[in-house]
Amino acid sequence: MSDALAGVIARQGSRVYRMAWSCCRAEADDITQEVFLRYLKKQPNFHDEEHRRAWFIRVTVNCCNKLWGSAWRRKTVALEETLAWETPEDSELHDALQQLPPKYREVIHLYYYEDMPTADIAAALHRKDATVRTQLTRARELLRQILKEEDDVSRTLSAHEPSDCTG
Amino acid sequence: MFRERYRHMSRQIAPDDALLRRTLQTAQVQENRKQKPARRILRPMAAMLAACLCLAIAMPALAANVEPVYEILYAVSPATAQFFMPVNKSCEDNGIRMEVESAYFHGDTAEIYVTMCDTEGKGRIDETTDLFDSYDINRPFDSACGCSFVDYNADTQTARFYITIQTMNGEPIDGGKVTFSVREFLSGKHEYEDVEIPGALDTAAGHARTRTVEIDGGGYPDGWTEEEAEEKLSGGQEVLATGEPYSTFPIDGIDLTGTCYIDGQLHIQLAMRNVRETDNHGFIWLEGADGTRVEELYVVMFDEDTTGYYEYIFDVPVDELAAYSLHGDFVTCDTGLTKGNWRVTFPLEQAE
Repeated sequence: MSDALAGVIARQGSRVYRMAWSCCRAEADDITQEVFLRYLKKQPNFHDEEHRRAWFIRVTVNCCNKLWGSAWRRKTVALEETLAWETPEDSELHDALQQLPPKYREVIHLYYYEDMPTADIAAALHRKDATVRTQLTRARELLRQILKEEDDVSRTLSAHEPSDCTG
Repeated sequence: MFRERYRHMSRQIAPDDALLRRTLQTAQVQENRKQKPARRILRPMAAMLAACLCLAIAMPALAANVEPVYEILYAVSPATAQFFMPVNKSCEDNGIRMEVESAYFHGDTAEIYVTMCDTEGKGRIDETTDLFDSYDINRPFDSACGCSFVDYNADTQTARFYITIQTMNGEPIDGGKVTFSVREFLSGKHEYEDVEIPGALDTAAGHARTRTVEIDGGGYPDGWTEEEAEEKLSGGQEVLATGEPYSTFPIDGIDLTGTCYIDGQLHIQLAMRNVRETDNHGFIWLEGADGTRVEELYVVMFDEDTTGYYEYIFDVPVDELAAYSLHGDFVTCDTGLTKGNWRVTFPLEQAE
């Protein structure tokens, strides 16, 4: 199992960590560990890679939600992670994203990084497809406002507007 | 293009090597425990170092005689394990012996293996032993710490931990001596997952008796502003008057002391008994017949005597409540805190 487990962590570690970061970055380390412990406990059988991806994403989101549980954790002031971003634009975008509610960051991450259609995002997050599309649209609007680059962001975002987006 | 810009940023977010090693170790320990309880992973340091060198040279030779924890350690970072230096210094207090087995100092990071053993055989060290954030490394720098349980040997009542400490300012840890200390730990923990509490919501629609208490804090969604959090989670707030504990609540150490609506929102109050000595805690949600989960809107917390109260607030209309049942994950502790003064001092030597 250890070889297989090491392989799973090596392949899925970055995906899980990035998803955890997008949900609640201060706890990304703990969430990453918890997700793989759940994987080990459940040892799920996946139909295909899409199923595997959706499972890891869903469990990561669940773990983010569960972290509210411990008084010990709640009373612990999370350390602010400081990354040396490669460009000022990266830093600016990251700061802007942190101002969005987690539910918006989740759909942004899954749509723009994982390349998931809104229907798949809805299935992975147990939300309605229409809800996801609305959240994507709302997230874009907020980003436009935050980044104060309406022309540029509007242009780049609209180039990737999902065809089924009605929100 | 936004997609490329987002990806460029995201690719810079990645788990560091130490996190992957901790994750692998912890997962492997869970696996070992499931397959062979109380399996001990101790091995002589010289043999470990020899195995490391061989593995670093010839990874395909990774064979059955290499212990699993080290095997997966090498799978992620074969160059790292060989730098762990034996320490083997111990101290004993309150019938508990703490030993610093080995350590690896590199740059601004220290990685340490520590064991704790109940020499009086009272069962205070077990497979749930939790150092409860009470460990410290006595160095003149601010640091961030992480601690993972590694394994437990039931025969010797010995638990092993893997600890990482990193300076906050990035300055290297070097020279002199370091004192590793622990002042208390938790053991005898029980975890309960997805426990349904039948009938808990039956009387929630009735008249709410309330009181105002000083809130100590709570949990709230990331989307809230600081002003919103301040308004809801501090000062005097109206909460449910604490009622008789729900008689069939199935978790010892935690009571359900109220479910009722205040201002159109469902409040559910849990009482964590002896909370400072046990860290009893829980996480609850509402679940529909089709498995749909409704998470809380926010949580407020307040303490009275030795009890910590959590009041969960849900945004579920009263006329829809019948479609849901109450579920929760809970962690309790019956052994409680064991206190002592365990300190081991050893020299700091940076790995070459």
